[in-house]
Amino acid sequence: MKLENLKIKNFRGILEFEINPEGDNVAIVGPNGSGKSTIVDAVDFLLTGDVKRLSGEGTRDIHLREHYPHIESNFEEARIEGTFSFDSDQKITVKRELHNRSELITSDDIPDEFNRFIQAAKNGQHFLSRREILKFITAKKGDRAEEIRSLMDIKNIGKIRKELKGARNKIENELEQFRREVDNHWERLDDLFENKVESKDDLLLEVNRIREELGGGKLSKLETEENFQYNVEKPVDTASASPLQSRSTKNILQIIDDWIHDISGEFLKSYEKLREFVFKIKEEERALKDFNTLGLIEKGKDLIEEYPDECPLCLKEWDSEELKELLEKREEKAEKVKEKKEEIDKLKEEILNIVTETRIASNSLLDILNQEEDFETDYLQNFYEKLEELEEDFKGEIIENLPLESLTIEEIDEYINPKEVAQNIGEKKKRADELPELDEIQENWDLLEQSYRDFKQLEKAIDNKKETDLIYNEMKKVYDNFIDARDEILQETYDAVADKFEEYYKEIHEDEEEFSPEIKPTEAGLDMRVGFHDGDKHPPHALHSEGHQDSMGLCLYLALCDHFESENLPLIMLDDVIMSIDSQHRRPLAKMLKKEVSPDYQLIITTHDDLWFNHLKTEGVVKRKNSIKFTGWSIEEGPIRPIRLESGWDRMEELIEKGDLHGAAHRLRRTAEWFLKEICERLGAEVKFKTNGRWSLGDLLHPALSRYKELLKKAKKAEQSWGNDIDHLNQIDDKRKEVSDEINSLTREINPNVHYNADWSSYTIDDFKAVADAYRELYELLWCENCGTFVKAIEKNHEIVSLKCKCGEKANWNLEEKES
Amino acid sequence: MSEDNEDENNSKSIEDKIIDRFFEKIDSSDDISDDTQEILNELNSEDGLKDRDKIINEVMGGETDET
Repeated sequence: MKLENLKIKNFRGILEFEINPEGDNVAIVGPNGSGKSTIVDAVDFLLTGDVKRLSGEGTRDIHLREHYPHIESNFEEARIEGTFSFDSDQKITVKRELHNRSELITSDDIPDEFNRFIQAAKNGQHFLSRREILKFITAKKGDRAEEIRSLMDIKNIGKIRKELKGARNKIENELEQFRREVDNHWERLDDLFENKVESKDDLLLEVNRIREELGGGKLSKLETEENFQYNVEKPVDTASASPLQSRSTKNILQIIDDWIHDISGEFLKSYEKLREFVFKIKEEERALKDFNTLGLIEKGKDLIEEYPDECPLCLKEWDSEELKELLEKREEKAEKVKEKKEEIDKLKEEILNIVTETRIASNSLLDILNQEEDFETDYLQNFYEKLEELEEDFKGEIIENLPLESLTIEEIDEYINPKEVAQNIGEKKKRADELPELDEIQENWDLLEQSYRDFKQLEKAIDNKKETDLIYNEMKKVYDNFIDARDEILQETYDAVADKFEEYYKEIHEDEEEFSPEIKPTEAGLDMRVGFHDGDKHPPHALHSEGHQDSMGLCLYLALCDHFESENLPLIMLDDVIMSIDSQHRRPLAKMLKKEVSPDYQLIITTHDDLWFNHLKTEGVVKRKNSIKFTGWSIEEGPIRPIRLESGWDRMEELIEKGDLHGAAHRLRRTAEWFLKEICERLGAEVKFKTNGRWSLGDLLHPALSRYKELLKKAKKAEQSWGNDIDHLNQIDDKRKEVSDEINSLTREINPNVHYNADWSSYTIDDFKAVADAYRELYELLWCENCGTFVKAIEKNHEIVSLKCKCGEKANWNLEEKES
Repeated sequence: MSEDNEDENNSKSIEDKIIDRFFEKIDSSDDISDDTQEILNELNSEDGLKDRDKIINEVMGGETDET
């Protein structure tokens, strides 16, 4: 896929601009601020609907509506259009408008290949500027890893990792819940019997003790198909007894009653504390980050002890005392967060324990009451479900998702302690207390019945725990395998990228045999080291010059591009990336781009450096037709390209015809500046030197006129010395004088007129035409229509000996006087 | 690896390569049951590996809803 044509309208510093790369590389040279990066921005915008250079860090104050359209145009009028060709001979034209930037407008069928390219561009793979180079080379490991992983487009891997980890953690929470349930059921069983019940053996002993008292004989194991009352004679009054009379029911009622009158108060107290800690932790965002890197801070302190003078990684000197103090402060804050987090975990555990105990008791009571039709249990069922929901909420991550956060403490009290539960349980408890005590036989019978019920629930909880444990272990292995797979592939990729990086770099720096990069993922980021003359490996910005760092950034980017698959990334843009690379290495770089990169990618390269621009042309990276030169920028015209001879005058005439005095005046000024610059150079006029190389009309006009007058005078004198006729020179001199006087008299008027100035409208077209004619006449005095050159002063042995155009028709004057 | 396979592998995205390597590991792991392997494969084919609840529900067979 190749870019064939690009049209930019009213975008950034460009009113209207068109290039026709026709699928070939493009190079744009121009001084800073001439608009070359706008071409890159336009392609970026066309592909992504955004401008990478204007987004991210340090661009907060740049706004689309205000800063993306050309300053003199409307937001709705800004658009970019591009035509792309494909190997299949298909061509598509796509357009994107600023006011509707999310939509790529086209009437053509978009091939998958183009969509893949759009995706690659959205990941930022198509673009390299100095900002990215710094991120690759000098950034911290974490930032470097983020930049490179974002280019690698492995966002989905990040999402999958997060979801697998989340799934593993959620199952771990389920497992915790079953562990709590198992513990709670053991506690319940232990409460039922006189002797300690902590295991199945203990329980079997107790069950058999009761059974023997009831004359039922011993069970050989608890896991029987029958219940614990098997073969025990049923007490006589069982049929008439209420379930509320049994000791175990009374125990259960007591647990729920405790919740109502006591434990729910404890819950509220714990919750209030928990809420306070969570809010405090959230307020201390920096401290929370420090808490997450507490391990690193501790390691950092050890490193400072071990290396008091310099950083063992970059070998730069450090003030160990100052650094240690900083780390200790961070550690202190992090420790406080750690303490708070431990408190939170403790409170969470307390809350979960009491909620689980009450929920299990409610469930048991439901089982008991549901055996009798007389009992209404809806309130209890609702209460059970509420506790279950609460338990679920508290199992999760509570710093980000604090349960019950939107409720006041009074509202929470009402929520966890519904009035109908208090009323019903109170009534049941009162009734249970009023009912006569059951005799010992009946109590024991009930004990066997309740312990059997609890044992069945315990078995179920154990089964759940066992099953969840298996699943948790599987999920843990799934997650670990995913992380291993990710790290292995990334390391393989980094190794391959490092090899290619080395290959590219050595093509530019043939003299650096020891350069051998290593890229390794670390816990917190991506470590990169390169070989140096001392034979060791160092961070890329530790010992290498800025120019070398630029080479490295470019080569690393190109090596990464190879791993983004060139068929998905057919076009890459390099925006002024060779700033610091010295001239010795630029030609090899141009050769490398031609040999290694151009076959796979279409390149758009911008630079402010004429020499590098010439290297790109002479090494064949760009064809002459795609070598675009800007000489400056103006608000009216955008990037200024060197104008062709006649086109300036013709364009000015067209604008006068249209009545666009503002545009015509601007064009006249540019044309006059251009040809006067040529004249000054060709006649050897003395123009006041300017370091920025930008001479205005006022700087050029008088030196050019004076020099021309001086040379004409010299020509006349020389002709006279030879005894020749000087009529033709007098005629030219008269014309010169006439033009010069006219221009001088009008200059005062033209200067304000040709500037961007609201006053221009006060001039008439006729006034302006007089000015334009004067300049045109000056131009014609010095321009030869026949050979298409300006007249030129010819020098010999540091003396001007003649003045002529190429063919001699306009001028061929001898300036050497006859020796007397 | 045949040349064709090698080409095919080289043209895969890093993301695809990671997923492939992950499933190689899952398929050859004795610690992960056939059922889980199958579920993960199915989830991957329908983009479900990016849905935590789907993973849990499928892997736990809906057991998360039970207490």
